Amino acid sequence: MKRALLLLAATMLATPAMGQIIAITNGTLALGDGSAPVEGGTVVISGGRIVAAGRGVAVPAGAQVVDAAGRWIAAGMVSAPTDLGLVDADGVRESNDTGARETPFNAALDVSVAVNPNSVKIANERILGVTRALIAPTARNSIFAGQGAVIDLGADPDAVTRPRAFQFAELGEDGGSNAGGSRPAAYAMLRDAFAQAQDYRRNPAGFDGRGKDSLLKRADAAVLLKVLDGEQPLVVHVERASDIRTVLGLTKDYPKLKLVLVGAAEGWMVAREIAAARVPVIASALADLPASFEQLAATESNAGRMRAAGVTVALASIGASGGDHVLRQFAGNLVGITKVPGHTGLDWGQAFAAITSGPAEALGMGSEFGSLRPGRRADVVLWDGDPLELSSQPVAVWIDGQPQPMRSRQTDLRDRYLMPTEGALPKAYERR
Amino acid sequence: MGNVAVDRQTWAKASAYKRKWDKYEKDGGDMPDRDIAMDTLRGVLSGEILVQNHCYRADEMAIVLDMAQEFGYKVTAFHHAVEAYKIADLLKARGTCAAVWADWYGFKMESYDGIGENLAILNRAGTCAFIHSDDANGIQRLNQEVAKVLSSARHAGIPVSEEAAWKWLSLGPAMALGIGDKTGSLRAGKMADVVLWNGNPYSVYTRPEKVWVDGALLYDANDPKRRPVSDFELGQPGSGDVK
Repeated sequence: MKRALLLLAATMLATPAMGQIIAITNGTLALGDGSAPVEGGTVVISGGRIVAAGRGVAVPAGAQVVDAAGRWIAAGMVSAPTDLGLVDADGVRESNDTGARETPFNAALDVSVAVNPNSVKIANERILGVTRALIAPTARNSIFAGQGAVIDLGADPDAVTRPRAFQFAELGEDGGSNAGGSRPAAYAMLRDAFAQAQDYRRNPAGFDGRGKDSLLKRADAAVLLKVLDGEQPLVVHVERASDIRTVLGLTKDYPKLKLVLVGAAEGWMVAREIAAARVPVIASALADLPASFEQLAATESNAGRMRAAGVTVALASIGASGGDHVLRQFAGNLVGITKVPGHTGLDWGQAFAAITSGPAEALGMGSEFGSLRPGRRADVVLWDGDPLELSSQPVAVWIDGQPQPMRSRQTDLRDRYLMPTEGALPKAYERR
Repeated sequence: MGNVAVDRQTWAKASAYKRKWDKYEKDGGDMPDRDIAMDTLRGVLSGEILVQNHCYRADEMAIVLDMAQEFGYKVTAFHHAVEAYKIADLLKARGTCAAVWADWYGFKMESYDGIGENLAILNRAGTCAFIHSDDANGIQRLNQEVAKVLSSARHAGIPVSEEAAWKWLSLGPAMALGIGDKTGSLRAGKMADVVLWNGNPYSVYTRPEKVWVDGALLYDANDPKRRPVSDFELGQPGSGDVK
């Protein structure tokens, strides 16, 4: 009896508040798995996970019911690659933990130790519909930037979903520049680093990874072994068609590499090869200008053409100066261009999947988050209209099944200046 | 402080330069030395050249407006103006416009206080304001930038009509550039700069179908011959492809 009570207590402790069953009913449902939206849908959440989602889903007895009539129930957006939680203001160097020019380390750098869930950008983007993110370091003095993480944007201290979830690397113009000035230098660095990692595996004691002149530190070598073994996906930023081919060719010598491409402005030119290699792409959505020589063939049709060739495509939050949430504008535009002759876009379901489950699938974590399919983390956004349409805004947000406060520093600033009145004291004395 | 000291010193020089040249042009005598930079500032002081002033922060815009008052010139518009919503009344009083992004924020300290309601708050205060177009990608979708402001305005309870909002990308900037009498609206006699949209231009799903500039059809979504290929694109990967 005593033992049974203890067990019961332990179970209750393990699921504080998470035991609450929530049913969001009667809304237009956007699962984020590539399917088209369905009207009259219900989502059931329990234990922080999706239990069921669809039309005709029964509401469990005792569930807290949220009526979503006239609204959209949608998977939360997933931003990738981004610096959310790593930066307060990008230009303020001491507040920016994305890159480190003076460090002797590269592949070993682990952004998960720097995540600040109180960063104002996290709350700003949370209430605009971004619920999870792939946060990536920036490469400074190497082709290897370090280890990125998956985080949630919940209003709680426990932000990291998966630390060291991927390795981020540069192998285009930036990679050449970081390696000393050319693409050959970048590939010399890559192959030498992988060779040294294998030396380290064969003989850790004899590995000179702590010497002042060592080209690769022990910590970097240990992490690169995980990359070589396919345990840590290698997320590579490249834009040019020939650079993409060269990266795809790496698996000849390093067969276990689990590659993901980021950017890939010229991906459409090599789409069939990318598809054949089963390499997912987190693509710049609206890069349509020859902004550099590695992006000469950039076009808005890039994502659509790659998708049509069978590539798993997610949309990158690169260039999201308005904040990560503009991902939905990116996706909406790719739906819009389907009506323009000669353009290739995405249908609604594909476009929405590209900003929700897409980045999760790219990391092989699609069964964990990114969509409203059963078993996934319950990251749900209730919208007052079509989430890809500019006139819509989130009404409510759940992350890991927890309802989120719908306030941020931006709403505080807005409310302070919304109705300016001559007062006895300056604005600084108007406190919430 | 250093900035403002140098600026004020420069305006003081420009004022003296203007006095010298005004006197020469009126009374004759020995021709003063020409200084091309000072010529430009003299043009500002005499109201011939409009000032488009890059500035983010409210306090800095206020300081510039004080300086403009001290030396007798006008700032036509502050560009970026991320904190303009904090000084809507001051901008209105000085007749200065704010050219702002819909929602850009957070990328540097100066943009830390950016909010999506900036333009909407300015508009309600009766301050001249319009959408900003300094980005090679953003300028392709100014209609969507305005749509985002409309959405922020409505959700914050700030009434704005769709017709009034269209001025933020048409007549508003045209007037701030001093060409509001030539373009920026479809009034009789103006340049025929016209767009035919395939839907409501405030929808993310809408695209331009035809574009006329000065009455000439320069883009037609249904006619591949009306899709220009620049010299730079010619013979390169993606040449002639949709952009």
